[in-house]
This record gives sequence, structure tokens and C-alpha cells, in this order.
Amino acid sequence: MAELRIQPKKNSPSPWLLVGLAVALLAAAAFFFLRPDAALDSLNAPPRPVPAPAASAAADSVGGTTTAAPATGTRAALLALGTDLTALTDRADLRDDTALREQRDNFTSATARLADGDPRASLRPGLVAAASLLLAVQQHGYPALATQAAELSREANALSGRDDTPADQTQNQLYLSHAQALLTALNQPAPSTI
Amino acid sequence: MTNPVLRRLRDLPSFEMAPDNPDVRGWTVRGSDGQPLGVVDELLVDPVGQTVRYLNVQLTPDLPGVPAPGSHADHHVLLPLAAVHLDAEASNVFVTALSQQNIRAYPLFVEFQLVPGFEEAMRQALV
Repeated sequence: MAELRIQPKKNSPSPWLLVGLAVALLAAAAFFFLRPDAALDSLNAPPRPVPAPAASAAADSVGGTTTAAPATGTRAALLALGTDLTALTDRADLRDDTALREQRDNFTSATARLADGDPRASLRPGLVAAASLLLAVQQHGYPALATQAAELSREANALSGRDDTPADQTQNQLYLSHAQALLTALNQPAPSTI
Repeated sequence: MTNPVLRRLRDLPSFEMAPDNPDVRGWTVRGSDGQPLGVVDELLVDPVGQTVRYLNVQLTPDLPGVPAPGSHADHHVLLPLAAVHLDAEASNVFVTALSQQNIRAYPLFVEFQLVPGFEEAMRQALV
């Protein structure tokens, strides 16, 4: 004896609804992954906010000098000054000085974000650290440059750290020219070693 | 007790076979001698009790003793589910009380509605 049972059909989503959803998903995926400029957008998105390379190139054209430079030139000029400061502190009579090494580390830390191209990095820590490093070199054996080094430190502490307005840029370039002049003087052998 | 209203399953789109209950439409109906008597054409179900009550079987043409149907017509019989056995592996429905020799005595189902006395006639034929 057989027995067969029936039951009310369970409500299930229309197969056409599922097909429509699948088509919509495929269309969305195709839109995001297959459009010609999608790959370029995704690749270029991160570097876009970082104009540092172009700015550095522009600044490099003036060779890190203290002449008038575009707004972003201060950043490049400070990094170029850092290269010169590193070369200075690597000098045989300076490299073993503990105070100098500390100031050099401070400068490296202060300009790390600038070197990484962080557009939000402030210039002021690097500018102040450069003045402190030059002051430490001066105190190592250049008593005749004490006034100039102290004045540079005072000038650095007065900077805003911004480079947006013409006034800021003028002040930064003036400071950099003074730092470059002091660096040139400090690149001469110390009087005690002559 | 009133008789349940029987409906063809194909007329109940909101119903389906319960899980593990085969849909026997299209299965071959065989008699006690194993010879085919016909094919299950439709199921008559009780929507309230949610059970299949009868198999509507389209008889094989030229069965001995069964008069030929008119043009554009087929012979159908109803088989109470209680009188059959299902062979799910080979898709067969066995009705041991019938065979090609005695099917002619079984009442033909010519109307969709079960007329009074039809069920009793089926029971008598299946004894």
C-alpha cells in the first residue's frame, strides 16, 4: 500500500530576481574592473597627493641655493642643506663629537617626513634642527661665528614653519641664505686646527 | 463525514510533492503479471489532507477486452493509492489486483468528477 503526500510550495525568490541580481553584480564588476582608466586610477591614486617629486625637481634646478625659489623650494632647499650638513658632520674632526651626533640625529628625525614627501610635514622642526646643528658645530671650534650661529637659531625659532604666503617664503629663503652662509664658513677648518 | 474535494495536482500550482515522495506521473502501471496496463497521467489529491488519493492512469491501447476509445479520446482509470505499490527504482506502479485479462471489468474514468457509486465500483473491482 503506497502513500504519497503533497505540501504547499515554499515561497522562494523568483529565479528571474536572482538572475537580475547576478547580472547587476556582473555589470558592476565589469564597470569597475574593465573600464580603460580604472587601472590607471587605482595605480595613480596614492601618489597623486604627493607633489614632492615635481617640487624637488624644480628646486633641484636651483641647486639648493638660497636664491628665490617657488613655494615648494624651501622644502627641497632644506633637504639639500641636510645633505651638506651631513657631509659637514662626517668631517674627521667632528664625527666623534657626541653633541654633534645628537644634533645630527635630531635633524634627521625632523626632516624624515619631508624626505618621505609627506605634504603635511611642517618645515619648522627641520629649520630649527638645522640651526641647532650648525650652532653645535660652531661651539665645537668656531668661537668667531658665535654671534652668527646664535642669530640663526633665533631666526629659526621665529619662523612659522609654513611656506604658503610670499612673506613666509621670503622669510624662509632669508633664513636658508643665512644658514648656507654659516655652513660655508663652518666648512673651513676650525681655527684651532690651522 | 463529507467526501474531500479532489483536485488534479496540476490544477494546484501552490502545491508540490512532499520531500521524499516521488512524483509518479509518467510511471508505468503494471498488473499482477507484470504486463503494462498504462501510464500515470495525473494525480488526484486532497488539498486539505495533503495526500494523493488516486492515480489517473491512461490505459495502454489495445488491451484485451477493452473497447477502443473514440477518436481523440483515451481510456483512463482511477487507481486508489491504497491499492498500488510503488517501485521507485524502476519507476513502476504495481497494481496486483488487476491484469491485462481483468482490466476490462474495471470501471473506466470518463468524467473528471467522481460520480456517486464510482468509488464503490472501483473497490468492488479491486477485490
